[in-house]
Amino acid sequence: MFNIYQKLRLKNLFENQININIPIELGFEAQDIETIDRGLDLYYLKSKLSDIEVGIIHSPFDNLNIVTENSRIREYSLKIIASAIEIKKIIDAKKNNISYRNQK
Amino acid sequence: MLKKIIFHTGIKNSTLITEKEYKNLLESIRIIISIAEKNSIIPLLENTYEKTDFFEKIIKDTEISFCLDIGHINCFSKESIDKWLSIMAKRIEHVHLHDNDGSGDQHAQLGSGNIQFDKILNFVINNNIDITLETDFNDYEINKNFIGKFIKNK
Repeated sequence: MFNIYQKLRLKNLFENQININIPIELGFEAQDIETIDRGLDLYYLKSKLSDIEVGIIHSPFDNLNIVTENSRIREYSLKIIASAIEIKKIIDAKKNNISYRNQK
Repeated sequence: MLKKIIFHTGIKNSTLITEKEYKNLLESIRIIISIAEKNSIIPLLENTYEKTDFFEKIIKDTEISFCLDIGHINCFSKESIDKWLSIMAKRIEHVHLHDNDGSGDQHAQLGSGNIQFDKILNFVINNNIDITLETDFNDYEINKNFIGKFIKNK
């Protein structure tokens, strides 16, 4: 049987006190990933994710372009996607109480 | 356990893409696949404004798999779900479901727009493909029941 995920944006997760017991596809803004990449809000993110099953990450959409001949925009877009992939370590580590910083 | 990351090309019109831009896309996909493999995560490219012929080319030129977004097909590509499935079926690893009336990307409740979900739901069921409801979080049960009813009536 296939799984049914629900899309949820990180900002909605932060803004609302919602009890989530369904599998989630977590959507990020580029700004979220920059913040996480700088090591800010990590504790808060981990506490928010502690009881949530995140099976999929949705990389930011707006202002990213991996095709453009503008190398600055393309490299920034790839960096954001790479950092979004790195967030896997936070999400997978939360279940085992492993420090993300120790893993990185 | 996190399994997949979904990303977009970021282009607004796939018919206007230059040869250089297409080469950039192939290189970007190669980089993303490489980073994803190192992190044991499956990267999936999602359709937004693109047409089928563009994705057909990507299938020939890369090993990337795809997340097929049904709402985007209805309001942006305007090509049939049958056509998308005939080209993409073997590379589809995930499906995004939401509805609209064709005039915009409304992310509306399933059944409230003009999308015919029978073909994509049959595809999902027959191939055991995971889906994401890209609708209002609070409508999760309503949309899940829409899918449940379809399965029951099969």
